[in-house]
Amino acid sequence: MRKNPLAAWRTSLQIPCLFMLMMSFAFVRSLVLVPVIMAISALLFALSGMPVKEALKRLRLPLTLLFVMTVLIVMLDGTTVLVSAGPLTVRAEGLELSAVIWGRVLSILGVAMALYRTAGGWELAAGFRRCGVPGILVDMGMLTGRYIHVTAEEYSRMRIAMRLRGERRGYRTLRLPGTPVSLAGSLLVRGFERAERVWSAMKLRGYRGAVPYAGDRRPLNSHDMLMSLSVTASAAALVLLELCARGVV
Amino acid sequence: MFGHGGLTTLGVNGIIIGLPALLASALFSLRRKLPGGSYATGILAFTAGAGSVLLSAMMMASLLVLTIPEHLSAETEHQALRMMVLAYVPIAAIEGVFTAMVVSFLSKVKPEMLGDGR
Repeated sequence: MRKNPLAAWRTSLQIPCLFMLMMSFAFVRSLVLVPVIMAISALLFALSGMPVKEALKRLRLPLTLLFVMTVLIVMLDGTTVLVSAGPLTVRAEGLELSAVIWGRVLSILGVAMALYRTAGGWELAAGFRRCGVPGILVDMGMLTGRYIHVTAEEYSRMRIAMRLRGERRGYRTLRLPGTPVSLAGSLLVRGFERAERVWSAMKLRGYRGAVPYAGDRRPLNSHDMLMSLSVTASAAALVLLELCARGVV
Repeated sequence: MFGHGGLTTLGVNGIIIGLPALLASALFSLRRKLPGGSYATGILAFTAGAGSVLLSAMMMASLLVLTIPEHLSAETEHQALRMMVLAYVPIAAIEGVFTAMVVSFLSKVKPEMLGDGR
């Protein structure tokens, strides 16, 4: 039974409202609004029930790349030097810009993770279809999400098999460029053959360009309206506050 | 997330990545018309792989140079973009070599994936 307020929110309303919220987060450039957007995102993330460790595990690589980028921004952007130690310099403008970027990224990703956690899978696909996204795009996304894990498992099985056959680990494999090439080639061949099998099976089951996702067909209720209005109002308020902070309004 | 446009630059990003990919595909399809067999295939695969990466980098650099905002120093931007394009040269070389080797692998193992032997 759905007790989670986000999970109980109709997906076809949840998707456009949360996307609008993410766009309003992306609009923010003022440091003073960063705690506000982070608080909104943290609330939605907490409501989704997603464990923080799982979210961090999924975001490990993008956050690492972001960290490297913001270190460069802190050292290179701006003219006001706060701390300087040889070639390493911390500039005030760079620090402020990095804080805004981190706040935006974490807020947007928090909302995205909340959406993925509560909608996820078929409901998300049905929600996108009801929002007017073309069927072929939704199907491609679903198939990619489905088979990327299969490809990852195949890859790890092949690596284990290669090690059992005597492949050396680590930097020494760089002397044998054929090894990653044959691995990539084998994965391509297997993926191609699997795609042909899946396509034949889909045609036999009557696929005509879009999977008919059932989705949530219950009528709109007060909870759907309340969530949609409050998220939309938050997004509008953020945009207005940002325009005020920039001196436009 | 980074305030660089995202959705509003979707079209231009699609062209920066998509157009070189289409040109690479067209270039690779010339292998049937050229003599040299597997050598021509390897050279065209390398050129297609490396060329598409370099072309994407140059297109992006050109677009950024042509649209530098007034408040930014043009000289600094030019220097940064020059360094960025130079950084893509080794990436393009690796991409070219890897593409050529994968194409060579596929032509031996599954030539129908390359449109041969159907």
